[in-house]
Amino acid sequence: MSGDPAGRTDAIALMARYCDGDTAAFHGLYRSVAPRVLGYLVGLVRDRATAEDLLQQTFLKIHGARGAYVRGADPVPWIYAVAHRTALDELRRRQRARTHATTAPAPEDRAALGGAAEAAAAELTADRERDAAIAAALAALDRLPESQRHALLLTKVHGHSHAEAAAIVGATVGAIKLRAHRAYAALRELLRPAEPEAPPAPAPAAKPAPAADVGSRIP
Amino acid sequence: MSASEPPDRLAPERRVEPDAPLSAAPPPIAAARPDPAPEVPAPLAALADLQAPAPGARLTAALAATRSVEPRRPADTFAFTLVVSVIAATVAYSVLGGPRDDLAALPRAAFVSVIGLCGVAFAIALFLALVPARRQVLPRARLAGRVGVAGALTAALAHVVFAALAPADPVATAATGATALLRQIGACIALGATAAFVPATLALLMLRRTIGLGGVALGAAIGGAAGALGGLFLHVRCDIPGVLHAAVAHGPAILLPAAVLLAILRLALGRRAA
Repeated sequence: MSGDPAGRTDAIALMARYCDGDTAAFHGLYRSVAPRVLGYLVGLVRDRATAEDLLQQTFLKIHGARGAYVRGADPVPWIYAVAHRTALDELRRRQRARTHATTAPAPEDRAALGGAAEAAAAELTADRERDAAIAAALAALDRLPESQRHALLLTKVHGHSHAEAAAIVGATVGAIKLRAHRAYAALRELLRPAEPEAPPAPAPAAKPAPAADVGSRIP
Repeated sequence: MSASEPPDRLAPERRVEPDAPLSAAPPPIAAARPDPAPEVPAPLAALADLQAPAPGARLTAALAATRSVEPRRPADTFAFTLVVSVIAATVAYSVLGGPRDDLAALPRAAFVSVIGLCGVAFAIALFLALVPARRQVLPRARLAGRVGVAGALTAALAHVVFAALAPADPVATAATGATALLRQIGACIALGATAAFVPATLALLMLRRTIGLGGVALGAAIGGAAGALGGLFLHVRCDIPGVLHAAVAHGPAILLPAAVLLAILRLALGRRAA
């Protein structure tokens, strides 16, 4: 919605109705914002299951902090900021517990992604490709410094302005610009398709074995 | 295959766009949303939008009890905090005996200027801490923190400069000896803290739901604002002369609230995940 005026207006209206006690408005806001926030959380914690749990925690916090919302303001950067802090708390907790984050979901987890039984075969192919894409993205992101990762995800992937991204992570606008630029340059190198290897030099031709009947091959 | 033969229709060539989405499935949820920047590498684009699970049991249970909430009005919050802080400081000032004894002998313009400077430093830092930018929920923490610290430093410097300009009070004397100096420092810090306590507490209370999002910078902002008000209070109450007293007693009294709140928030936010 950042950068999309119609989407921003929708979010503002939904949040206002939600603050007035309209549960249906919450579900509309959730349907609209949760997929993107989940993508951001997966980029931060590099683990789908943890990211889904953090998504629930984020919206629980938003629900509890509705009184902090300012009517007429865009709620999306605020939701992202809560998600960001929730993810950082989780990463700090992991660091303390010295657990190792896993990467993209295994193929068996695909059932958890949803999809009608009738279209399972087609979706399976699509999800497999999507999971491979996510795994590639996470592997590349893993090689970036954390601050650059945040800046890149927020600005390049999720479309937030530099000012919004700065407010979400608690940095200056200049720092966000620099981090996003460096991250993007590094990522392009990491994700650049590998140069095809030069074919090995042909082995020197071995002496042909004498043919049993050379005469019959000559046209 | 020679040039004269027709192309093989069973295996038509496919042109793969490098930035085309890898999945042929339509996006899962319809609402209007921006596409990632066109130059985002395709694998990263997969992270822009994932299929989210339905709200879990805890969230659903919380939603079942949804009621309407009063909207936050940051400008009203700021005005309330400002007025109550000034009233509390005025009451404390009256209880503690009113103005300094050497008021009549002080250079009026300089005296009023320091009051104005401390007052402005207090109000601006408090405003930036409590009132987000237009159409935003998130506090302007970084800016507020810098202004809060700069305001407190300027107020402390103003005290030192004023002390150099003000004539010595024939009654009150600067301390001679370490013990007396420490006693005076303690008294001034207590006096400054008396005025700083109310705005610091009120502002933290008003920001309790968003303070975690502003981080330690908000502590610097609120502490800087509270310290500036404490400095104003000291300026109109303390008549102990001398640049040394202003530097070692008033300076720390003004800067301490920012340092304390910074430390408290760093501890509190750092331990939140424990």
